[in-house]
This record gives sequence, structure tokens and C-alpha cells, in this order.
Amino acid sequence: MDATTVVKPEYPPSSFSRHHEGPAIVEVHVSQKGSVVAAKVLEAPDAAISDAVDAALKKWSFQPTLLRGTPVQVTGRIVFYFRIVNGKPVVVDASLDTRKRR
Amino acid sequence: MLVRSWKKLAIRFLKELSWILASVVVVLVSLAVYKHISSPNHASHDDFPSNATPSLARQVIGVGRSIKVAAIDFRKYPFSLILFAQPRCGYCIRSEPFHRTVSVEAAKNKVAFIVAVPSRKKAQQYLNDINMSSYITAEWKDLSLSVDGTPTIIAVDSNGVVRRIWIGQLSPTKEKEIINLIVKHDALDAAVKEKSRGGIDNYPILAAYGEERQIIDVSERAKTEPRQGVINIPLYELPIRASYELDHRRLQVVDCANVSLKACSASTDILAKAGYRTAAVGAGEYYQSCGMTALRERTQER
Repeated sequence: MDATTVVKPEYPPSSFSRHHEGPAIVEVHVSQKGSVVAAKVLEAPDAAISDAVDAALKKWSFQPTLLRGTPVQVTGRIVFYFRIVNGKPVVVDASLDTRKRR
Repeated sequence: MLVRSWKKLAIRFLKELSWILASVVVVLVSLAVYKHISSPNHASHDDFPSNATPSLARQVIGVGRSIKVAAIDFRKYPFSLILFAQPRCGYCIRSEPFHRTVSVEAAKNKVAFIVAVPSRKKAQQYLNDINMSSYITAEWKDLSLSVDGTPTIIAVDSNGVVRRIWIGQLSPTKEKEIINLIVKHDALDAAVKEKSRGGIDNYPILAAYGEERQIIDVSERAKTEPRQGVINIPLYELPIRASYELDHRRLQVVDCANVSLKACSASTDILAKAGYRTAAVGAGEYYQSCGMTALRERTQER
């Protein structure tokens, strides 16, 4: 799954002020055309982060996945890390990082 | 003069040839010994039919599952014990005194005790050696049940429902638990309700690593409850999350209690590829057994 439009979720101020950090994992269902049909947050440090991730993912789009030349619906997982580094909120798209490393 | 030097040369050649031959023999013998020792159950594959090898489908005999065994009518007994063993499994041999005790106590308390072996014919010597007082023999293939390793003892109630599973050579506490179950039938329910720690901290072999290890549960979230000191990273997410959440300095132990062997193996492969020292441990009640999911460790040079 290669993303063509990536919108990074924002670190919700309420979560940051409460020092809520950790991984947020979203399962995305992508249509044959590459648009996000559904996004389900499987794990998140809190509800606000979950909402932020859900809202961001709905804006993502992907290159259509081809199976023997035919576009197919696909499901994948995207992992974000919400971290506080040197007192600042940082959101890392781990899936993107993994793609780059490949 | 020429003949003498030719003779000398021939003797020298023969001496060297004998040394080479001796070395080759030593290497071959060492290899054979190593192969024998490193085999998990020290049994040659020719000894038992390959289709009788217990598969790793632990789900087949899960606690709470109903099973049927042609060799026995469970309804006739308050409960039945099925022992899966094989003659050359070291842990089975070491457990023989306990298995004899089980047989004696089972007979006294009218509990059925079935000894399941790979092949009755070939295992006859073993069955004679263990000299049990009372038992029913069956072959693995007849039972149509699969176990993780040997020895395995399964407690089945009178409705044919699996109530407990003990895998491997058991600790004295676990052995006592089984004897108590045989003597006090009502303890079967109590034992089922008893919450064991369930985690793989029970494994004595892991104690050697002290705190320098991390236990990873690779099953899907919904299947397991979070356990203290265990990170739940589903297999599907492991390639992405490992480098963010796991420490290269620690041994990464995959708890395979709730996943298939394939998933277990894939997890250790992913971790080993990412440069982690990894180990995999089987079901929660494993102690030490002859089987494919016994603890195995792989190290990859970084």
C-alpha cells in the first residue's frame, strides 16, 4: 500500500497536557480506487488521540493495489507513535519510516 | 638404493593415508553423535511412523473442548487421564517414576489411565519397562488427537470434556497436583478455576536470563488479556513496531501460547532478521518436553 496523500494526525493538546503517549494503531480499508473506505483505531493511548488518528486517516489516499493487473480492495495497518520529546509533542508515522527503510 | 627409497615413500604414503582415513572416520562419528544428541527427542525417524508424530494443533485439545476416543467410554469413569508418551523422549523417561505412581493411584481411585504411544508394537518394550500396574494402551493415530509435545497428560471428565492439560516433565508441585486430582475427584473443578500465572515466567530456563529479557505476546488484541510485564504486539504489526518498542540488548522471548506454530515461527524470523536475539516458548503450561515448540533460541550476529 503506497500512500499518495498523507495527513499526519495532530497531537491533541489535552493528551499532551496529561502526558499521554504511546502507539496508535489504525486498520484501514482501502477501496479499489485507493480511497479510504473505513479506518478503525485498534489501539491508542487515549480517546482524543484515537479521534485525531481517525480523522487524519480518513483524508489519506493510496495508489490502487493491483492483483494480477486488477485493482483490489486492501486492508492494512498504520502505526503512529505519540511521543513527548524534550517537552514537545511529536507524532511519528512508523509505517512511513518502515517504508523508507525498505 | 632406488627400491629402498621407493619403499620408504610407499610406507610414508600409507601412514599419511591411514591418518586421513582415521580423521574422516572421527569426523563422521562426531557428526552422527551430534545429530543424535541435537535431535529433540533423540529418536530416529525410522522408529515411528511419520504420520504418528504429534502435530502442534494445540487447539485440537483445548481445555473445555469435547473429545471422543474410541478406546474408552469416558462416561464409565469420574474422569480419565490420557498420557501421550514416546519411548525415547528423555522427559518421558525421566517422568517414568511419576507415571507409574499415576497408574497406581488411578487404579486405586477408579480413574481411567490411557497411555498413548506412537506405535504399540514398537513401544512395547517401553511399556514393559515402565511397569505400570493398570493402564489402557492406545496409539496416537487411534486417538485422533494432537498434542504439543511429550509427555502430555490430559484430564478428561465423564462428559468427554478436556479439563486440564499438562505438558512436559512436570515440577514436583504439578505432579502433586495431578495425584491430588486423582485422589480427590472434586478437586478437578477447583483446579480448573484456579488461576495459574499463565505466563511464561514459570519456565525455569528463562530465569537464567534474569531481567535481560522481554516477553512478547504476538496474538491479536482481542484474544488475550494484557499481562504484567508482557508486551502485546500482534504479529501483523511486529515488523513495524519492533524497532520502536524492543530493546536490542535484551533477549526477546515470543510467548507462543496463543498462536499457531507458523505464527510463532514467523515472529521469531521477523525479530531475528531485525537483529534481535530471540527465543520462543510454547503453551503456558509447558515445563520441558520433547516437541517442536520447546524453547528454542536463535541468535543473529549483528
